[in-house]
Amino acid sequence: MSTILEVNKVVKKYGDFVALNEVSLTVPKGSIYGLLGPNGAGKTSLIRIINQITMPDSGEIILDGEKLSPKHIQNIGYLPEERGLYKTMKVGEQCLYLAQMKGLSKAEAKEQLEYWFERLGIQGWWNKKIQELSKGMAQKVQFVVCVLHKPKLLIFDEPFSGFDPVNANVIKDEILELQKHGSTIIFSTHRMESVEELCDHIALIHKSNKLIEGKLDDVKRQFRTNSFEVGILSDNVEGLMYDITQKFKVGQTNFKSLNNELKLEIQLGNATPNELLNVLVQRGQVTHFMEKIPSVADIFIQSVTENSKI
Amino acid sequence: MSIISLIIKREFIAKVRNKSFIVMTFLSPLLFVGIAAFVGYLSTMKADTKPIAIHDETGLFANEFLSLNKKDTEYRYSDLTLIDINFLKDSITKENYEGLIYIPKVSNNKDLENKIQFISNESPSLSFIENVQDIIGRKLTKENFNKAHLDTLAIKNAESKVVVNLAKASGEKSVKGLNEIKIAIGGAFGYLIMMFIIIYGNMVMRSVIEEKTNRIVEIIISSVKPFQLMMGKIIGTSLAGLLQFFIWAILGFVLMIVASTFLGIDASPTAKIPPSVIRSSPRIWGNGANVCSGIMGLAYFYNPF
Repeated sequence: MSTILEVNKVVKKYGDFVALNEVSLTVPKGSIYGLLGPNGAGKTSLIRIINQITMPDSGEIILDGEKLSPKHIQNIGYLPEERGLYKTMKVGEQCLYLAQMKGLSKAEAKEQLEYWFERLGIQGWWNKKIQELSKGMAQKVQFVVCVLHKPKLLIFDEPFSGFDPVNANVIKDEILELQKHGSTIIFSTHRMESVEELCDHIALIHKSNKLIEGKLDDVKRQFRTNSFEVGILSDNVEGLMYDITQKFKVGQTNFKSLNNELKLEIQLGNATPNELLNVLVQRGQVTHFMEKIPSVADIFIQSVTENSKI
Repeated sequence: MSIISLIIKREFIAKVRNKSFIVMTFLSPLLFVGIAAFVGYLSTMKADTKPIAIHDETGLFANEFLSLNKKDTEYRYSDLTLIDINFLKDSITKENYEGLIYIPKVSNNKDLENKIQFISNESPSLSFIENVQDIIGRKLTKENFNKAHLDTLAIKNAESKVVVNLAKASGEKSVKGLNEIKIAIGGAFGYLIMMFIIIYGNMVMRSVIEEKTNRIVEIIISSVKPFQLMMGKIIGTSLAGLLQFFIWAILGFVLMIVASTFLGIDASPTAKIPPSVIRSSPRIWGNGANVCSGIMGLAYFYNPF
């Protein structure tokens, strides 16, 4: 898979405080790349460097095979976490202005704006001033401004913040649509469920260092504990427990179920799922059997906690 | 359209559409003229006549002041030499006299130069004191001439007042006092230019503050270079200022024509404004506004996030 963005050993300091400590990332073309990390980890610093708002103290950034330079401004679309538009300017006028700043001609900008306004159902807002819109409405306008010029790379910093569930879903669908049309998306968020739904690659930054990077599935495999959630209805629970504990590590768990079964978490170790099933079916009726795949939230918490102890 | 032109256009339109710009451009000249006319009207109103008491122990000067009562409507002089000076000092406020000119008796007229007092509870105006000094000084000089047996008439005839006539090389007569007019106009324009440089510099600064406050600055700076942004703001705001300047010039010209045609007011002094002053004002204004705007805008722009 080719690469759209390479971040090579970027360092950024604010006085004595190190915001980024030789951080390196590789963003594959056409991917949805989740940039995760706790507050103050350095995500926004990195995003600002990619957008050329600030410059790194050392390191380099390669965009689509070329060293990042001012001419690449029109190849990047940025939706910052702290939203902002000119309050007294009309929506249409402002979007045209911001689109032309990104290199579109007035005619091209108008055409694209009409397309997006219709797509998001906001045609009636053209002559409204930003101050007349609610926060969520203004954010929709800002989303349009970000994607209008069809950039190769889109960077969203908390794109769903301020949206109700319906509009969050609309934005999510648009992000997937943009990916289908060839855009690469980096998004920074604390909403782990969004990462699970959308991202195919992730990177985790903590205290100015990169902790994890890779395909989401590969990362999950890395954090896999080979555990299974099991639900079983048995007449002889004691016998069942004796058989299981001989071969596997067993713990209690909870999951939603309509049955009143025994709920267990069983670590296979080096055994296979079939071996576990063979033991279970001899002692009762298996109602639930599922591998416990670590969630992004679990991976995030585990990595940050382990790193904090070092 | 280049990025800088785009920003210039946006800043210019934003300034010109602002209600305060419209008010400043069209209403403030009328307000200015109204205030000037009101001040002029107040200055022509007759003030109450101020009574001044005179206690002249020399007997030389009282009549000089009393003769002014026919001409001077601002002050009314009364000779109270026969009343005791200490009593006069105590009663000066009670009798509602503005003040008392006390000229003591001296053996030598030369001593009078530093012994004359104006006694008053309020500070007198500079022009009044200068007038009193002038009257007493002239009378004293005349007395000194008489004592020295100098013919004052001969001295007066010997005095020469020279008048220099101004003319241009082409043979035309020039206007006297033109330099003074130029200085006055230059001073007025200089004041206006300084005021507007500060106002427009302030506008650029406020524009930067607005963008930082509403957080659009991240979007803007991810799209354009800071230099382009600042140049656009400074030039756009300066153009709005120049437009205002030209509107005032046109309004002023129209008002002048109306004043001279319908109200019969003589507008000829304004015709003496040298063309070079008019031509250079926008350039001076523009340069000053650009420098001031740049300094003020950059001061706010390069604050770290």
